[in-house]
Amino acid sequence: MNRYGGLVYTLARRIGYETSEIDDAVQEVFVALWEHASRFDPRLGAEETFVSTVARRRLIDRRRRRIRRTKGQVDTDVSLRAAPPPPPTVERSSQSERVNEILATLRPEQQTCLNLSICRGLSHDEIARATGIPLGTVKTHVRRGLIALREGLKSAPALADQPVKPFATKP
Amino acid sequence: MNHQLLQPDDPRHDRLEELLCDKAVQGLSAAEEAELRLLRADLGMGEDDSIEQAAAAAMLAMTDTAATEPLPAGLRSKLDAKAAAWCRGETAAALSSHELSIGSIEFKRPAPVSVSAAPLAEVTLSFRDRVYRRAQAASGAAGWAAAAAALTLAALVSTRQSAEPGSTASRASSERTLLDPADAAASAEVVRAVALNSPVARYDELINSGRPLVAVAAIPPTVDPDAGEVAAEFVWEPGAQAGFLRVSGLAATTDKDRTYQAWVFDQGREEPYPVDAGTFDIPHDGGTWIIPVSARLPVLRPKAFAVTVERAGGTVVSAPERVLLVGQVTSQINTEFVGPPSDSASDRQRHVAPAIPNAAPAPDAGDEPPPGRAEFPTE
Repeated sequence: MNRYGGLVYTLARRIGYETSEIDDAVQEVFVALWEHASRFDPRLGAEETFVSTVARRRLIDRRRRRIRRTKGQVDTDVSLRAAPPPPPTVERSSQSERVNEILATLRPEQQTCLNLSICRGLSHDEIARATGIPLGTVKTHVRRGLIALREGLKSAPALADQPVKPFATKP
Repeated sequence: MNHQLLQPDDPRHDRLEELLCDKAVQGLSAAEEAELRLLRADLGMGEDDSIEQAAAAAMLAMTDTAATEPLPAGLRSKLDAKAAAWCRGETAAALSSHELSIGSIEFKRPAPVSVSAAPLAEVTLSFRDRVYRRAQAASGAAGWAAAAAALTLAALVSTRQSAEPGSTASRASSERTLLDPADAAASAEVVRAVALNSPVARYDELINSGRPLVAVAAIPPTVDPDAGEVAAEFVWEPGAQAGFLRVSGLAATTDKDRTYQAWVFDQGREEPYPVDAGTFDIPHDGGTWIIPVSARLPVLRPKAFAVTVERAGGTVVSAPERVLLVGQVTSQINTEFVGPPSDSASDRQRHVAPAIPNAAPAPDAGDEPPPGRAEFPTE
């Protein structure tokens, strides 16, 4: 919790959770992490990526449930959140460096769609409305961007060479 | 992902990638989740979260570390309490006695609790959950055996409760003899004597018949707020082209505008449409229901079962808006078993998927569906 509490909390806020439900969302993520900790395989990726993958899945699923409960009500303030992607100045690790290299090969509108989708948690519809890009094109941009990332990370020796940190260690 | 089975020009490739990408960024609907499962099964693929990992890596790379907010103190306190509760087994069942340490908290799995002190439903839930989780953790024959044990236990408990539903004496007796197969078998005899033709009795007869069966746990394909604690299992007899759905937690279909419909996905059919296995209603909330199902068309090799919500009257072609339950056959029986039922002991072969998680046979498990309800016309 010491190491990743802030990360999970920030993810929940970025994906659009309100203060009133963020506590439950973060707790749900940590329970999932405790229950799935044994699935972590350092050969497949960094510990931080594992935590983020589990957290994203939970937060996205929970967000879907919330939207379903509100019968399709969506955030209409997407224009305010549809900011351009931040410059790739953050270099946390060799994996992040590789990700930024791959992102740099994508067209600007592809980067925008990916950023809004991954970092802001906007749906394809919301991205289309916020950017004016046709819905089908948004889907294509996101899909091709994700596949490019997956293929690029697969072939990245840096990923496998990252120092392995045991998941179950005290901070 | 096993790319050897999937050629780039295969139209299923595009659809698979599309679903995986959608899952990674905005999640899937229940129907899409079911489609993904079936597509994976069709292509012989296991779980693949490489796209989700790529999305997570991208998110980390695009997130400004300096902007990461600290965990608020109040939330930290809640998490500590949640962790302590989880450690005591209140939010997750015990797996084993091994230790697991995450972050600053060390978790020591609790020893199994005594089953005799808890109410009936809780006893059954915790025991079955533990069996299920052991089955998940184990591999090979041991895992199948544990899963089969869970299914057998479920049948015994169901039978026991069916004999004397709802009575206080019955409940107290069940607590004492919950795990006593002989007692449960004796109760099964009572059931047969009282209601030989009831769905409960026929279900009990089938699972104890020794005939080749396919038994599959069915679970919600994704988290559905309306699904609640729904849990179910299909028991299918290929030789009879029929079987039973045992389900708990389904909401009652009291509004008359909707109904439930069962489906069987057949590996032997070229078209991707499942076979209608009948519609049914649930008269009231709560309880566990035994519902006969039968295929409207011949099913050679069942590969999955599902329950959808449909408009009253059902549909002949599957275009489900809501898939409530999906159970995937993980081990297929030989086609030689497809034929007339056999009583030969050597034919006894039961294929069991992981047993039902979080399914507790309710005290009214023996409730009989009223005529015309919960027992759709099979003929």
